[in-house]
Amino acid sequence: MSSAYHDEGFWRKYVFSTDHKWIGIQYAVTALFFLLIGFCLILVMRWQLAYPGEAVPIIGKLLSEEGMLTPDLYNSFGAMHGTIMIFLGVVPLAVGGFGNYVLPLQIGAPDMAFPKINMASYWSFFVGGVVMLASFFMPQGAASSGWTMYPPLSVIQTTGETMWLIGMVFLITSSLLGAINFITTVIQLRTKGMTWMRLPFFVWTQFITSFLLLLAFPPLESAAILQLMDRLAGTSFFLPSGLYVGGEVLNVSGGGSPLLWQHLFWFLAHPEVYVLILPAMGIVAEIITNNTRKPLWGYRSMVYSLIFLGFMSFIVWAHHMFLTGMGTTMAAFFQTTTMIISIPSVIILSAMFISLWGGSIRFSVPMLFALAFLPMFGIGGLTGLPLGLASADIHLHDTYYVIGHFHYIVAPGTLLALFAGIYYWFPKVTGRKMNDSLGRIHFFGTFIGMNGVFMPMFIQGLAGVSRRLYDGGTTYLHAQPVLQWNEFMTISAILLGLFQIPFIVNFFMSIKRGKKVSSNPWEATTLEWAAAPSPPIRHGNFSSVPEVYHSPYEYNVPVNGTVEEFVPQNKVLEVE
Amino acid sequence: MKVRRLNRKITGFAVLLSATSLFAGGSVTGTVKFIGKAPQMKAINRQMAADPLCAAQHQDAPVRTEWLVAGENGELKNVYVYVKEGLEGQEFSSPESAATIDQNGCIYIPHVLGIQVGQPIEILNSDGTLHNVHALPKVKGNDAFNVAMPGMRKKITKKFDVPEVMIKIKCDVHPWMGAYVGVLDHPYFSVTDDSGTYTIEGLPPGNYTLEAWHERLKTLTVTVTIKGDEAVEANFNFKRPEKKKDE
Amino acid sequence: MLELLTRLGLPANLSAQGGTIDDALVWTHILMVILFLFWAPFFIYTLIRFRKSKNPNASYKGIRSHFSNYMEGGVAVFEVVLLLGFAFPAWELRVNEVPPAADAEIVRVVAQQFKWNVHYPGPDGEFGRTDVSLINDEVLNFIGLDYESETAKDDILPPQGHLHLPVDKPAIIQLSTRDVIHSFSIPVMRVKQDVIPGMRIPVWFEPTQTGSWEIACAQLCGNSHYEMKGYIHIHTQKGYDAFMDALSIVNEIDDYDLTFEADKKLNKVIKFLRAGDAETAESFAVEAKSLAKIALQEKEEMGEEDEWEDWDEWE
Repeated sequence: MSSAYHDEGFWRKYVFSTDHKWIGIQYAVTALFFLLIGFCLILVMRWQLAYPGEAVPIIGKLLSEEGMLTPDLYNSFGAMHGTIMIFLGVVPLAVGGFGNYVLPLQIGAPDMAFPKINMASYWSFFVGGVVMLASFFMPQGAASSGWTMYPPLSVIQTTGETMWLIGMVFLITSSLLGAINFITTVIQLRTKGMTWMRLPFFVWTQFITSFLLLLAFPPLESAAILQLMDRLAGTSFFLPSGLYVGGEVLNVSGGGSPLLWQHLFWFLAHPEVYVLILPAMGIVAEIITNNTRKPLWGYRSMVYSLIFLGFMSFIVWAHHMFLTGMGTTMAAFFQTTTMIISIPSVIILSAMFISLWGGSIRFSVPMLFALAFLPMFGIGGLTGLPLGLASADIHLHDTYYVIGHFHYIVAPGTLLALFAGIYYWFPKVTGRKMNDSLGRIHFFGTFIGMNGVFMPMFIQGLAGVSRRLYDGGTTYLHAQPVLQWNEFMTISAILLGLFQIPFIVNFFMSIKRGKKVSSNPWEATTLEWAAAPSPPIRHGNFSSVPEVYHSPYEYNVPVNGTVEEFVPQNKVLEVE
Repeated sequence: MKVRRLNRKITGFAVLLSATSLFAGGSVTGTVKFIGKAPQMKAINRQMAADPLCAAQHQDAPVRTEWLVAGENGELKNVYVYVKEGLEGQEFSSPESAATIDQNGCIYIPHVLGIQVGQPIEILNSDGTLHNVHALPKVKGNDAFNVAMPGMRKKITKKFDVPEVMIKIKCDVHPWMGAYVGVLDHPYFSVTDDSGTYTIEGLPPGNYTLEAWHERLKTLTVTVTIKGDEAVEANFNFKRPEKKKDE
Repeated sequence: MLELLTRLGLPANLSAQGGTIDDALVWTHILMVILFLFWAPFFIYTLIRFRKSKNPNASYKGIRSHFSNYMEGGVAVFEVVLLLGFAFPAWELRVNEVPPAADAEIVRVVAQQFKWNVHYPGPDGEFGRTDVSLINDEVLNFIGLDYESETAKDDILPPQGHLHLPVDKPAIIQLSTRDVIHSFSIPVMRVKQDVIPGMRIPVWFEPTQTGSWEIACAQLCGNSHYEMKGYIHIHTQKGYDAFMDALSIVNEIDDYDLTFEADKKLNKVIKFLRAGDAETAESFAVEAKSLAKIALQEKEEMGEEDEWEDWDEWE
């Protein structure tokens, strides 16, 4: 099979590659780089929150004459932290990285359905990322009206906002190209015998995620272009007339609505939350079943919940907008859908908890991360409850409670799962294992650090401290009883940063020096482990087309009175 | 042509020397007055309650709006007088020393300021409260800026690259605060003081058009001729403008 | 549970309608605690009991019971109760059961970068015409009030950011903004409402305690958003009436020297409200009113009209 492909030159092989594995690696490495940048931005912001107005150590001179983070920069950093983490970090890593690398392998495909579109997807993402980073060097800096870019503020702000919108158009295009590819690949390129109910859960999550991207992103892409026109072409899609800005009446024709942007934005951005979380669930399911040595409990109900979840995620968006002057009918509808969507999440999470029962649990490094994901995602999900009820949201809206809530979903939730995925699939990608001890140090530091950063946010949020305050609410009376947490959170964030050093060292050291392993070091059952360790970067993944005979997680199968430890999907299972 | 070139050399020389006060050159002085009954400037002490740190600085004395400050006999303060025509084709270097505008007591001091293109302008914050410096130039080439200055941030330095009369500066946190900056590519400008007088020094011989600019009373112009190192007087008398006709 | 939340930082609720919000907060957190108390021990027990060294052979089937279905059903029922019992009625109360205008204090709040403008209709109960083209910060007309319009004559505009209200009387705040999106937030009153350009959105609450608190902006509105702070002063009814009368007269006189004494008393009112002493504040408000009246007489005796009163007609 592999002989059908000729060797390509360096540029075609390693830069403008069309091989899904290399594109996956490109995505993952770029995304990890952006995650680091996004984290550095927030570290500087957290310094300012703990020690308002004090010079930032080391890099202070780059920020301002006095060395402190100025309010303008604080807002820029805040907007770009959100944008970078979500659109340039987590999604590209979860979907672009893991999806690209693992999904074709797991379904036994030789590559993606459209390898060139796959390449275009990565490079569109790359250009989007460069545009976003370049916006820091525009006069007056990067976008500074929050990652949500609410007009009119975003329209009257600096040139960085234009860059943000252009960058966003590239990023969305990238996601759309990827989504089409994933969907086609899963539908068309499943290997022989890979029926829908034999798909690994991870493939299901990627499949549903791709639908979310495909259907939710176009509204935001058009909205971004409309806002671009508001900024550059003098239209006013999102601007009403009679605004008074900068000492004069804003010269626009008016007639637009700022709420229209919010609807279009959240129509994407709520499904986007599930784009962030579903692949993470997929990774965790893979690792849990592998490390408990037993099948996933309730696989079918998990798949159905997943599909339902994907569908429901399109009709909950306005729960971000309860306080924009919503009437009872709208509020009742979106509260109800929000409560309904919590049920499939509860089912999936419960199934994963229950999967542990009766297992023979190996506490490997990926398993530690995957296990930590469960309660962390639980906290994130449960704290969404008061935010989803419009009345409780009146008090919590736009406070640190919201920040705590979605960070528990995305940081101790998704990010831990992504780390788990990196440790889990690293041997497949490189043929070597990452160091175990460094991995454990990384895990415990990260777990404790993240909770230290995010748990106090619930307390500050309950006190009513608004988010996006440059000084963390120092001057507000109602913030006084909870201000002391700021320093605690900042120190936790610094520790969290320090505990990423073992990971970075481990990651690069293990590429060259890690312990060499066989093709299936975790004794797993899914198809990616049937490919060679570190499969060569060229189209065609398997020496022969694999055939699938049974469901994905056949561990400890009772067969004719004995027990098969694990039965890979491409191995015939003699059922009793 | 020759004369002009010579003229330029002389001017260059003059500027150089006037900076060190060795050479007086010609000068224009005068008084700017408002004819008629000037309005009473409203006290803004009460408004300052919006920011307790501002109000605390003005507990015992009135602080007033400054859109028309006239003395007992109509001596008009804060009028920007500058050479509008007569220096065409000449080039002047910009001073490196900074002009300053201070945010003190939640008002801008001074209210009207003249600077040269490229000259640094230091915006100070003596108040220890948050100010937001929002400059609104209209001429292409001058960058608008909008900078928040928290209490701890004591100074920012900015400049404008293109002549513009006048650039409005306002504070969004304390909306009553406003100042005007005139930017010229030559050093011949002045702002009237409490007694309504101004002096423009070091002018080389020539015919000039002087303009006096006031934020609400608009502008008046006058032509003067400088022959040597003499002092020419040019006074301006502003009147209350006509009542707007109902449209 | 409420006590626990309060200990964690939830400010005390000082409004009549805020209880419904606290109920929702309390019950959602109770649900969280129940689920947590169920899953956390299960999780830890499972990890210990089924670790590899203790349980080398995994069970193929795992749990056979349907308890998770019951648990999920339980969560669903709890959520239905939350919706029907707390969330829907609370929203109904907020949006539809607005107290009748006759029994309420109606105030307009106009947000701007970075201040809250408060606008009272005055004795006639009608707001004067406002027009964005009349906005002029330099002469302190921040909301573009048309002083020519008949209904504007008695309107009262306190210093920016200061909202005065009587205790135990519903207040209906009509929110609008002259530039970007803001969010009007008073944590102790359990009030928060986004202010959207082009819209005038009402929100109501009923303060139940005299005193002085803060208004925050909860929606990013620019580089000085974090200092977009306002103050809310809850007077006794009598103190409120006197205070507003005094403020109205003082605004009308608009002369620093004439109103110096009255202004001092007005500042005292706020000082004592802040200290929680509404009675003293009330007496100062009454004093301020009589001083303001004296000042008005003085002004009338001087009989001098400022010709520049209608300054903006002069160009």
